[in-house]
Amino acid sequence: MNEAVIRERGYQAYTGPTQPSVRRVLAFHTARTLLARKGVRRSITLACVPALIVGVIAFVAQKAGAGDDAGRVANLLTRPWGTFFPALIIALIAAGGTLAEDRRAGALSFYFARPVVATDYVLGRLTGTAVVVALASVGPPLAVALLHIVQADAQSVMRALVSFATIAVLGTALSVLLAAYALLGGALAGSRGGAQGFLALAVLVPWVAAGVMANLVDGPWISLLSLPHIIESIAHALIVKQAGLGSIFASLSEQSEPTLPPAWMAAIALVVLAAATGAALYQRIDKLAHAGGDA
Amino acid sequence: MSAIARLTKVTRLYDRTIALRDVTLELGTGTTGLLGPNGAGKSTLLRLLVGLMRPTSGEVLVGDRAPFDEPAVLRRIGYCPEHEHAYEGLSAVRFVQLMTELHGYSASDAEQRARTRLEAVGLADAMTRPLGTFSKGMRQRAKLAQALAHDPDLLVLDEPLTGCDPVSRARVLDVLRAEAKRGAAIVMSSHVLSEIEALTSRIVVLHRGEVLAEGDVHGIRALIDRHPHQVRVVSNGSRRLAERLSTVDHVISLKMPDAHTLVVETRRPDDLYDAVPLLAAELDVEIDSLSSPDDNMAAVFRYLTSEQGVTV
Repeated sequence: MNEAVIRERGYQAYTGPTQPSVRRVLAFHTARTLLARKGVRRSITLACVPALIVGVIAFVAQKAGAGDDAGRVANLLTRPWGTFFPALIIALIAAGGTLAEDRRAGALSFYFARPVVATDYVLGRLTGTAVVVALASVGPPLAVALLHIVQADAQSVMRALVSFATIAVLGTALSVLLAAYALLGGALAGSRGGAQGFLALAVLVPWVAAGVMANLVDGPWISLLSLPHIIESIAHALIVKQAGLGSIFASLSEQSEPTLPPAWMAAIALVVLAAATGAALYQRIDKLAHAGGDA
Repeated sequence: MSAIARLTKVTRLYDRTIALRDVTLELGTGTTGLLGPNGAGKSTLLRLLVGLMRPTSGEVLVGDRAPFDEPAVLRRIGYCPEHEHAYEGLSAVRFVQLMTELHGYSASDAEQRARTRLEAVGLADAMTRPLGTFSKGMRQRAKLAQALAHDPDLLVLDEPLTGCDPVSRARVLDVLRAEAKRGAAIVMSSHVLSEIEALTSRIVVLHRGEVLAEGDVHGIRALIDRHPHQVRVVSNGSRRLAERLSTVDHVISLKMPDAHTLVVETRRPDDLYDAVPLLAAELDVEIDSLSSPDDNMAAVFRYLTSEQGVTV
């Protein structure tokens, strides 16, 4: 019988690396995998087109002394003609290819038998996905907002800076939420189609429904379910009305846009959506992590 | 043997199904084979060891800590799961590198380790190919490489030789022997006994979620002495030997599968080994070989499980 020669060494304290950057590694892997897909790269390119058009219009308008139109830049984030649609396509690709792929490939048992806990996994995957979504969602509008800052005179520079910061913050929030929806779809469904179906149900259907129903029902309440409408409402208050954060509180007593929810309500809805999605995602991943790796 | 892992009265339920029942076990350094038919609870036991699940009751310790949700323990473990799925589009070297980076190694260190391990398991020429193009055996070896790349103290391998051809099987066994020499504790499951037999004689036999037996294969053999041992005698006088052996009290049965072979079932094999050469000399019979087909794990496993209706 072939028997291995065993060197008895008993229990030894672990002496290997003790600070694994698990989240960074997972985020980098996620972003790299997504960027390797043609659909993702094409979507990012597609997102640059409306930004380019808006940028050119803004540039010409500014040169012609017609003033800037910060509202249009904000709309780039959320309108169907803007960057939202390409960002949603990336989220759909991510929904089918990130967590759903991990489950299909049995990769969860590789991850969770390592020094990777559910929080690391969620944050790493979420960060990587959100960064790639943001490349399409918030990158091009930020470039246009930057152009505004460069072109702004002393009087309008503050307005341009507020616009830039608002787009950065809201665009990031939008990207993170889209990424979270994508991951949650994979966590709940486990199959590519199921994950993408969940994302469509959570984002696309309310978006379309809000657009259609807002003109049919009395009031914009239906749009509280729609992520783009929520973002647009807050952006409108911060950029177009230019009242800073106070505009959100001012919206408590103001008449809102006919198709948009009041900004204060939109802000609450955004926080509730983010918290609920984050909690659901963590719970689900934690359950999958401890299901023996075969979930 | 010092224990690197301990299971104390561990029970694990899946809904109403009992996967493991009141298992108490010590796993030491060196190599331990986990044997049992499909559904015996091997994979569940291994998943408990690598912290992929928590016992329903009882305690699992690796070193002195529970592995469940405990990164400090999990850093010391290398795990090769049973399933053959993989990231179809990822190259083998990138896959192993990624898994190694999760242990805290820099990208360049992890890549170097990945290449070294993939070469060791015989995938040097294929390491840049997507895993989706790999055969089952190649995937198994890639999975083994990711389990080894961070030099774990405890290697937990769930059916690591499944799908391997004879050449790659030999390669994998060599790698595992080298790991054992390095000092790693290895726990390897299989339902193919020759795979375990090629690596170690220390076995744990699981059946229907319970430890049926544990220890050295010979020790286990002694535990089941109520079962007959078989001794195969190849000679030029099988019939004459059979006539004389039929009068020996500890001989239970005699079979002659062919003209030169006599298979003797006995309750006292040592006495039989002493008696056969003497008889052969007395009868002027030339013995070509005297062997015990029973004295291997397959027979032990078959004996241990056959009473409970398991077909091996």
